[in-house]
Amino acid sequence: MNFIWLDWAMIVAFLLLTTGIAFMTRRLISNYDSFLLAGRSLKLYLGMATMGATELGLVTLMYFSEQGYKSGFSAFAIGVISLLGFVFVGKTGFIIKGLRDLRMHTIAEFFGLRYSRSTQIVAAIITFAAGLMNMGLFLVLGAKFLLYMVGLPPEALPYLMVGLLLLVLLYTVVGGMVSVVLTDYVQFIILFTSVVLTTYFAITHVGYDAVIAAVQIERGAGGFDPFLSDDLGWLFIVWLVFGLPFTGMWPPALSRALSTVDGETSRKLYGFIGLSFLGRALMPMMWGICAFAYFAGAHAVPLPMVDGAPDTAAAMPVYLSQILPNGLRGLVVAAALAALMSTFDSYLLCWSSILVNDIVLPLRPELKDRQKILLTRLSVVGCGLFVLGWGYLYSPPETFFRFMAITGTMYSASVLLTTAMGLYWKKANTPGTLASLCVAGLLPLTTIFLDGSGIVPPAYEWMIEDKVVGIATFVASVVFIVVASLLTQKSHPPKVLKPVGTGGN
Amino acid sequence: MTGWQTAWTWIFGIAVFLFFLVEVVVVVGGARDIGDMMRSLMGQADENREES
Repeated sequence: MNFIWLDWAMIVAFLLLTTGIAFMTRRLISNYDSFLLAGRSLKLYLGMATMGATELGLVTLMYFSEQGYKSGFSAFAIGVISLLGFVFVGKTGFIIKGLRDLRMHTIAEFFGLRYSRSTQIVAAIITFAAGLMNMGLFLVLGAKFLLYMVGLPPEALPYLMVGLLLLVLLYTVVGGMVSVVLTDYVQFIILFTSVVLTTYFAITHVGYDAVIAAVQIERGAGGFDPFLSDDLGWLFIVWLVFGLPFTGMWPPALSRALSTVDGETSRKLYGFIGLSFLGRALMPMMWGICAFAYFAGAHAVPLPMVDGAPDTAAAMPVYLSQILPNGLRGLVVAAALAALMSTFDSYLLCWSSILVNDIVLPLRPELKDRQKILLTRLSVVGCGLFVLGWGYLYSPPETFFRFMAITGTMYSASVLLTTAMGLYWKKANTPGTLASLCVAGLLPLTTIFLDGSGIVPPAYEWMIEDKVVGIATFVASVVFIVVASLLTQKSHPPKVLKPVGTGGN
Repeated sequence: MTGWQTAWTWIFGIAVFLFFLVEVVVVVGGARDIGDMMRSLMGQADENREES
């Protein structure tokens, strides 16, 4: 056990604070809008806090640090592309401003307005499926971090997963978006401070020059040049660039943009918070690179093994558990819990709202606010249980980041791409959108379920590699919506959107 | 240091600075926004109570 009483005290204080806020805000929930979108009353800085805390999850720290461990400094290219994406969205308001001005609750709702009810349901199902699979690894990665930081035996992993799930369910179900927003603010402060402090300790323990030397010796030029990297390479960079216009539009982040007071605040939100997204990626990657240098040295503790191979995801927490001073270790674990909860609660709430708003409500429009809140709470619990099972049973074939990227592509190349076409291309119609949704929603499943399974002959394995499938998905999606829409203009004339107005609620 | 090493070192420094800057701005501005949000939600809750 690595913890002393001071570390435990910090964690208990943090848990009391956040769950207390959730219970106190319960009386403020008067209708469905206040439960799900905090009454659409989010202003810029609070919106930034909640988006920053949501998008910097424990899972983010884990997958970026693992990528840094495996790719060295080349992994930084991911953060740079992400920053460029945020700058683009912040400058242009691409997609987000249009959706906010139309007063959409969720992105799939737009499909009902612009295309048809069936398209809305298909888009919602794809979003829901991609999101649940993506979130499926949150619990297991979060529990792994805590396991190695605290120094618990590996057998405790499933119990930790259950404990974390119960904790998050408790205040998501009770408080809704108001408690999520308020706890996000507290968590933002703890989290961002801890990330900066940890970066300082991670680098100074091994020394920056020693880190560069270790990467140079072990990884060669590919440890710095992303195009020469064995793990990344040209295809990976091209794939990321294809997804660049859709940066930060995963539904939980979009729900923040849709909760703001107006469309202009949504656009500013992306522009400002995007500035922190470079650090969000690069700092945990640096922890992973420092851990790599540490384990390459002679005085390191052994790296845990999984199925006979080093557990690269465990490198960062094991390294931090060895180098952080007492007290700060507790603060970092409290911050990690904050990161896990702020991300997990928002994601649970988001997928549940998609299930209720975009799949159930189009079929049962007569549901009252009370019934909708109850249904959303029940689906939060259901999603949580799915995540518990998926995280325990599924292992991604490549790194955790690359799994996140392919599930992200499943959503962005289908739902986001067709949303953009619906907003900016007048000829986009229902058959074209349905064709695009289906092909882009299904193609990524080949790499998720077949890659590493041994079913595909070795000569054809490149066809189901995530980089190839990711690029093919974007290309196929564009081709299908353009060709199918143009071929069916007469039989299915496109709907014309009537703007609701740009100001206020 | 090679070109890539120097570039990544600079980019990392800028990333840490921007991250810290955003934290300070959000912490100060967010406290004010919380007050506004609570007032707005309490107003909505009162209105809904009167209607029902």
